[in-house]
Amino acid sequence: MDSISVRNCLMRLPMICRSSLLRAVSVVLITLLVISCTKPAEESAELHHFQLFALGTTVSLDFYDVSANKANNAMQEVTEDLRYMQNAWHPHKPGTLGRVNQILPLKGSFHTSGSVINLLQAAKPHFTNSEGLFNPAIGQLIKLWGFHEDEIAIKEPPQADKIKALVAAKPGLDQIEIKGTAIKGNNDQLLLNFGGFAKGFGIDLIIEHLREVGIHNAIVNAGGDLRVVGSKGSEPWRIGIKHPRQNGVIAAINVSGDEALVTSGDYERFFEYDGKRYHHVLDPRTGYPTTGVQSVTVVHQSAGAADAIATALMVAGEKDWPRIAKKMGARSVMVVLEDGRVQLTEKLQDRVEFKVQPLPKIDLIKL
Amino acid sequence: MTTRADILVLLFSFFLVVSLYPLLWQPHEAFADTAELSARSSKRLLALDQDGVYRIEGFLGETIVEVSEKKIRVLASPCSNKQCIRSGWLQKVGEFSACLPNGVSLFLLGDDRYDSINF
Amino acid sequence: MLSVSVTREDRLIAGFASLAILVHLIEAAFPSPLPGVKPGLANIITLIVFFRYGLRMAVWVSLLRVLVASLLLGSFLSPTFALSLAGAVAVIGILSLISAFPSRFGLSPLGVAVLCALSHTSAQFLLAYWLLVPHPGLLGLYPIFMTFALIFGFISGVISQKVYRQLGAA
Repeated sequence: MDSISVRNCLMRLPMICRSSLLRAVSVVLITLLVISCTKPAEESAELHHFQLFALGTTVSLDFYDVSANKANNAMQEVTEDLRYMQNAWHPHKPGTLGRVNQILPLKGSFHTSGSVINLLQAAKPHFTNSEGLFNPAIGQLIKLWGFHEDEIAIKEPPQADKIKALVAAKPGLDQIEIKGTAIKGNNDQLLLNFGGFAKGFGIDLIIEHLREVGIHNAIVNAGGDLRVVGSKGSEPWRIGIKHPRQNGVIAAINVSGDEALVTSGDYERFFEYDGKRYHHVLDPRTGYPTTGVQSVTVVHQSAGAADAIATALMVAGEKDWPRIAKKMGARSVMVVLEDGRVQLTEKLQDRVEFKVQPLPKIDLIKL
Repeated sequence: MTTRADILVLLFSFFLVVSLYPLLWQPHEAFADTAELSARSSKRLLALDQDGVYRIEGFLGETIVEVSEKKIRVLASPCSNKQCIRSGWLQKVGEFSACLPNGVSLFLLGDDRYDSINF
Repeated sequence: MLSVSVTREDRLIAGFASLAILVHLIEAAFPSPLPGVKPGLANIITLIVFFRYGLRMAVWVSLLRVLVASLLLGSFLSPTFALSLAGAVAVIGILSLISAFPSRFGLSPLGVAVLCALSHTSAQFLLAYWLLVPHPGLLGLYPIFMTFALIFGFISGVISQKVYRQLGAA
């Protein structure tokens, strides 16, 4: 009924601010050697919390059981890392990937730096295993829709024939050859935009770095991409997963050891035109935003892989995602469908604690 | 003069109203006792039983929140779309409001605490 | 000179509308048990007019009531007025629906009163949620409001039925 659409516009609430955030990125990062350790006494005196602005989102880090000194030093290094990634992986600004994107359509061979090669190499198997549903090569489509902008403009959706032409050109990661540090594109419509995958891959690197400097209990959270190591003393880290249509949390999951938890959703970046929601996850086969799924949550070893899987499963949709998940090696998946039903894999079932009343209708999926 | 149609309407209305309860009425949803206000460089816990107005410095400027009668809301924010203000009063555990451009978030805690929120 | 001819219908509308306004004002003067919960007794007048004189006059009476009462209470064009109007419009919607069926669907004032009360409350609630307090917590109150609507709808239905029977058809 009407209440659904009312709810839609009201529920996009907090996440939306994200749309306007990327603009500030480069300016703000520099001013942001942000150090803070708070959280008054209580039970968690040893928890250090930091927040900074990078990779297009607010990145928050929590370290447990380290000295303030060690935490601050680690944070300085991590801030350097994030600044580097920010510059290297931005699809349009002058930087490594920005330059690659200018040369790639020319179809000649050229050398680029390891930062982009690594990202590309990491993304390729996910492209193949997802049958092209996870496709960071559709930057042109993303640009056509305006989702590459820091602040998403509310406008008419692009013309159907323009979308059609870009879909027909079939840009894909399989059309990029990599030899050492040399790469060559085979399609003049190639434009790399790694989106959330870069966030996931980035926090995987951050976790590695933290381990090297002796931090073994931490959460790194970059919006929808999150990875933890260790635990909070004797307790696991407790993570709330945002409800795709409401203010609060839909479910809680405990994670510990070394795990990534990534949620991809249609509420993260979108605009509404004529009462219809157009969100940032585009189906490479149609050129339009995916439908049928509000959010996908994946628990996996690495955040990069989990992000690629979550994105691909959004595209695959209600019927097809279990098959793609299997191919991509995902076992722990939660999918919230358009009508509010939840699909949950058996492996994740025992770990998810729903926080909404009444409970959503849950379908168990065997993988 | 009560007709058969009246009886039908009464029965139907009765069942409609009764069925609304399991659908919408949420008696178990706990009210929060604490709000966690995080900004770029700090995280502070606000007790909801103490009314007051709090200011916190974000990326773009000052976000102002108000605690009143065990509820909390964002009063003012320098971000452009003001979604955080539009989400209104928060009072139940797990409710969450954020202004990402300003790097400020508000999260309500009760018995159930989260270390991080995945959104 | 401007002359306005006043028909019998006009007089009836004016008479019933002022009666409804009176009920509305009296009700407004009493504190309600729960904020927003009102017995809605003014709907009794609308119902009787609907049954005696038909839809057209009922529409006039209920809209006049909302307008004039809000002017008298000083709430014209305020959110309260919007809520009042939304309720009246919902009731008119239900009445038009019912009068579209032969012999009013076989309903007596009792059944119609209950339907009106529920749709009145639903419309107000939706508007409140939409415009005034867009908080999901508000939705949790909907069943409670509907319960009161059912009870008061039943009471005003019984009253209208009795009054209607006393008066007999027009």
